[in-house]
Amino acid sequence: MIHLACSYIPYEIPLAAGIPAARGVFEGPLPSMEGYLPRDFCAYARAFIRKYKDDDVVAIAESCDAMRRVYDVLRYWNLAHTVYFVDVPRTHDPDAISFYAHELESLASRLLRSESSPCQEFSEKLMLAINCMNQIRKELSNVFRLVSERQLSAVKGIEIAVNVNQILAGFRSAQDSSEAVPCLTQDFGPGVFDALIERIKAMVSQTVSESAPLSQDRGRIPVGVSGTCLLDSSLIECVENVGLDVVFIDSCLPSRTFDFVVDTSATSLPFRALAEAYLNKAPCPRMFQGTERIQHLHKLALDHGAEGLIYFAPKFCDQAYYDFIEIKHGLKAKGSLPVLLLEGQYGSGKTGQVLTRVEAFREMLEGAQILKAGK
Amino acid sequence: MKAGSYVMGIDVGSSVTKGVLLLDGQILSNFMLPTGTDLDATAGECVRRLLSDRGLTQKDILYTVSTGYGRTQVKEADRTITEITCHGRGAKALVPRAELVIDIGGQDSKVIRLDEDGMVADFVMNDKCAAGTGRFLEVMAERLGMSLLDFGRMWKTARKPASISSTCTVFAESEVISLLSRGIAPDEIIRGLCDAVADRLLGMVHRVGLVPDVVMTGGVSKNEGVRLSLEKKLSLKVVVPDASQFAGAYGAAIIGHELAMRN
Amino acid sequence: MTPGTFDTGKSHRKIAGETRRIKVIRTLTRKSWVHSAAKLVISHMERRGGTPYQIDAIRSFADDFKHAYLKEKPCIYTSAFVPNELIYGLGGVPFLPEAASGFAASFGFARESLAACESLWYSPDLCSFHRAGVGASVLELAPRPAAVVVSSHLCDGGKRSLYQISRYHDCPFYILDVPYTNSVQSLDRLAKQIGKVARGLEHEVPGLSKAHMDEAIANSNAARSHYLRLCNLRANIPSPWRGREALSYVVLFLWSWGSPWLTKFYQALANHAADVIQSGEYPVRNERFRLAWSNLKPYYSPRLFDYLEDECEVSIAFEEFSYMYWDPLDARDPYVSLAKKIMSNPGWGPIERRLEVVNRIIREFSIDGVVQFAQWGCRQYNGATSVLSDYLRKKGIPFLNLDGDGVDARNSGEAQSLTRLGAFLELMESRDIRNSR
Repeated sequence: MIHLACSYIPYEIPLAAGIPAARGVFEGPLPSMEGYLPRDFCAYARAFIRKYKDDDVVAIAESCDAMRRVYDVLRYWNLAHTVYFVDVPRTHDPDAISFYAHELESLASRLLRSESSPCQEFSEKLMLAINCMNQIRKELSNVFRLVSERQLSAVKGIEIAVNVNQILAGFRSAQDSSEAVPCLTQDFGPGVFDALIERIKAMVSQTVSESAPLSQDRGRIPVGVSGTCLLDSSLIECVENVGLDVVFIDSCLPSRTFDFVVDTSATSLPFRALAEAYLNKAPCPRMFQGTERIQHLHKLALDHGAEGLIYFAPKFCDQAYYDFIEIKHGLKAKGSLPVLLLEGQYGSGKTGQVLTRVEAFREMLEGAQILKAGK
Repeated sequence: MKAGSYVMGIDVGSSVTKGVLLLDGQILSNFMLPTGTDLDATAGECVRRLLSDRGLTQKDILYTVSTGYGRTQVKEADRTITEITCHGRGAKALVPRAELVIDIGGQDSKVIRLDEDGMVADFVMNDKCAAGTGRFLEVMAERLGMSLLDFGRMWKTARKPASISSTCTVFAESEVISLLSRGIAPDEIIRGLCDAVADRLLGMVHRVGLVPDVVMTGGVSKNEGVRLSLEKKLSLKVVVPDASQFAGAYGAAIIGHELAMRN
Repeated sequence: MTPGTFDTGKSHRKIAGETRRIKVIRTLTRKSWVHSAAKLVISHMERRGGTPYQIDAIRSFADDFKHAYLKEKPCIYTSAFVPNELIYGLGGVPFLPEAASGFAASFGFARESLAACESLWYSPDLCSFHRAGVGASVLELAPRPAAVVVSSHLCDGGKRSLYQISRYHDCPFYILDVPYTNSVQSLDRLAKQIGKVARGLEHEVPGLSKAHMDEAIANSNAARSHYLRLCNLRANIPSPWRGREALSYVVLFLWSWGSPWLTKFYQALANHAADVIQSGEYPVRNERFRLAWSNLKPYYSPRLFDYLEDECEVSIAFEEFSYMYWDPLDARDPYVSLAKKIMSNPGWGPIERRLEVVNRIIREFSIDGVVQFAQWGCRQYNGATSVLSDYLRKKGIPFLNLDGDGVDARNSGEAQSLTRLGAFLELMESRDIRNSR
């Protein structure tokens, strides 16, 4: 399988090449791997440093200084059999899109181990993979609509997104004989993705139906959560346990990985369609797209009635540190949505430090209401 | 709430546990003791002393609010509220004109901006390490062989502050050693340390916005040197109420009193 | 350009760091008599027999600063690795907030700049060169920018902090989004962007015109020739120039390509090195070891270098940041040339490119050991420490990773650094003894 390090690397290309793919979701840096990167590196980057299985490959994007060094460290120390580098532009002007379409085509060639450009047959498969991922994204967008409407907890929403990611990773190659898992080979037929979509649909509906009903206390205050990478769901869990309702999440996983569609109606060139869709999705903090990110967050807050924003910055994530400043200024200019900054590692949501800050933030938002409620 | 009903606020801080007992919303008594390692037992002891001093039992207490980093360890509490909200309320009650509260405790420091009703409008807390907190000052005082109570007197005798750049306990300790070995007078070092703590707070103050009146609470508020450095750097007077160490517990008790009245 | 979104335009004077001396300096830098007086002082220094290359450097910065502060020419902020031939070629003066942070630290203004920055929510875990740059700009210690140009290669903090500076000052912002992989497509995309930025600047900033481009390219190439001569001389054993000074003058290497005076400066400096070699008056006379230095240095205290160069008689023979990495530029095709220059930066692309340069420095400058000054918050360089240390170990070259901070003294433990440097030198010495047995 291929571990994708960034939401800007399309799942579609490895899937079309017959390689199961998933966003790298780890439980944290491995203590045995300390020393490869300095300790003042964000935990997400450090978690990527591990010895990968022989048939696993890694795709690192030009996300930030830290991930470029991850690319170097994995190769220098032979920690992964193959490490691909995907050069993602920081803007989305027509030149950037053309460049990225070319870069994605080159990624496909590298995955297919071919010297020349991918053939027409591959393009057809890529179109199938794009349609498949669009359907999966649609399922997830329904899930997060439920979260926004406060019918499903955000922790469950994240769990579903992570499960989808795992199903895509568990989409084993031909050697895997398990019947429950769809088989993916380079010469797969048009129907192969249908089983995958069905499986994801079943998982989603089962998880949603089994979820405990949410508190119908309408006094709970709706908030949004934003950041680069949330690392895990502990923060969201903490926010919900403290009595706040998370009505939107703006982070690498789930939103920036799943909250968009690839439009193929205007072009027959799948790489072009991918480049356009990925570079035009809601921008991540590394992008240079003027005030688009602030406008996006402001709209999210307005649409979902969020009364506050909790910003999570993985400790030592420079992108998040700078992004937070822009958001703080930007939202203030648009009418002062209270913002709480939290810094942390994996599992930070379980620490007293974070709990105290989130509780104090809730008390602040409640303001005068605090006196109304009993224990 | 009937007349003669009692409410308690317990603030379990990292170094000291404080308790305040209110009768009809007015302070009746207060008590503090070192927190130690057993938070549960310390909080219990604090409650017991508040009660026994007035010949009361737990049954006489209508409502108890706990706060501070050990707030969840207080068995007697009806509700827990964070120290940010409690310090804000307590400081406002102690100094009605307060709009900005600087609280420096044993292991963390926070700056709280209040609105006109004494509600928290914004707040900021320091990060995990002990840089610039009460613990930092304790370590430095130990290294200089002084008591924290000497800081104010020494600050005033210093001709100028020694240059100490770090509030990292480890780096600052080696800076202090190097200053001592260069023959720099201890009072100048102390003033330098107070300035370093104040510098660190300055950034936090400006993040939430500087608005007078500024009130200082928490254990370090009793350190006159830090207060003097802060006043100099902020160019305004910093008010330290007599009961500044009890601001958190007092705020907790006030909120408890209001909750009890509503119930 | 996007409209300003950052609320500091009017209220930022209330931020931390706004001390009386900052107000005084802000006022003085905008007075023409101050710049005239500076000119007189420099002439006086020259008449009193000041070192020519030092006079040249001071004069050139004084000249650029005069243009920038008095708004005689448009001041364009650039990030550290933007080829400033572009700015001089348009008739502007560049200003590098990251490099200026080093000045701020040297002259003792870093504390205020950092305080200002922190009060605007910048995390102390960010690189202090970027934080102090933002602080100095917001406090208006630095001249006001007419526009900001950044390149995306190397550090993230550089480009982002400069973007934010452009928001504080509500001025046009341009980014050169540098491709990572060296290919025909990459070069083409980058060259196009450079052309677009040049046209944008010409269009949006009054007073800029491409008329000076040929001259800037010629200046850059001429300076490059003198610089290469200087590098050859620096390979001499013992070293003809102090490493601490070289690390200060790295600022010019980042700042001044394309300027009319850089040629003069490198020519004077190369002459100085030649004179030292001829006279035998070496700064470190009994050179025990020759070090290569990676990344920058603490700009607020000379203590580490007093110890290394004066007490231990160890030379810093060359710096990684001083390595000449680009080919001569072609005035007929300036944008492609500048794109090639950017793409040749050894800090960009896979780590092997950086290792190759370190290896060349070791060979060309007869290096005995390598010290990397691990600037707090520098993910770009520190992230490769495990790789660099292993690479050098395999080559048998001792390596020291020295934690510290070039601008923010709070992140440095000088005593700890001296101990580590001392232990490192002892290690090199014991190796020497062992090898000579």
